[in-house]
Amino acid sequence: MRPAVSAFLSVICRELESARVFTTQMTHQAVSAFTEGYNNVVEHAYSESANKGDISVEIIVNHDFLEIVLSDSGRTFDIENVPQPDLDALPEGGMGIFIMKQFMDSVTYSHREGYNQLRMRKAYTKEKVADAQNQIGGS
Amino acid sequence: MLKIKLEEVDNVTVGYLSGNLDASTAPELKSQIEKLVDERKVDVVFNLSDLELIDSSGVGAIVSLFKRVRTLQGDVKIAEITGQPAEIFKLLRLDKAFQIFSTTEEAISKFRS
Repeated sequence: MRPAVSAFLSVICRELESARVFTTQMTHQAVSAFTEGYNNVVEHAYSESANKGDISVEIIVNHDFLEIVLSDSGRTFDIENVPQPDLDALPEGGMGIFIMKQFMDSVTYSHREGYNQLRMRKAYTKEKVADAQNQIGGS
Repeated sequence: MLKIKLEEVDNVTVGYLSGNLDASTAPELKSQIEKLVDERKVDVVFNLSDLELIDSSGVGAIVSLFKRVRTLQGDVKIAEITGQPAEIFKLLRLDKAFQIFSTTEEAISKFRS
């Protein structure tokens, strides 16, 4: 399912590029962050075979930013205590959270009523947002 | 989905990767890598011109091969990387660790020099 959602996210990002509020680089970054977030759910939240469940993906096109929200009912993940990878040591893993945080403007993780929610936000490029106001969201 | 096409040119293994190199397909690349290393084919060029997406698991597979062939006096070079994979390589500073070339031929020629 991940490649299908990733392709859908790419289509949305391309639309934002057409509206001149996203660059191609930002599209690559948003798709990368989504991929890592999704992997985290599969590999950590639902890592045990007895603990499988749904992954809900929301893609929110706001007036000022793109937001990707991943929700699951699996094991809660402590995103704040994941060590920063030592890039000079050429790590073979442990880079997912780093990629998300570097590529998105904000990454938050919460647990409420049995659900984990990863919320990643990427603001539109500031230089061009004024040009695009007539193309995204009207006014 | 990941497609892996392997060719041998002047004793260099050229791997053309297309599609997605991610958590679900990285094991496939790893198993191909195991075979290469077992056969002592340790000079490798990956052409990534048709690679649409790489994630941290995919990076892990390439880095793993890089480390293994280095211990056997081999090398992994990267050719024709663009788009999202180039963005990931830059962020993870892999563009400093790997030699990156704009053409496969140029990458192969560096093994001869």
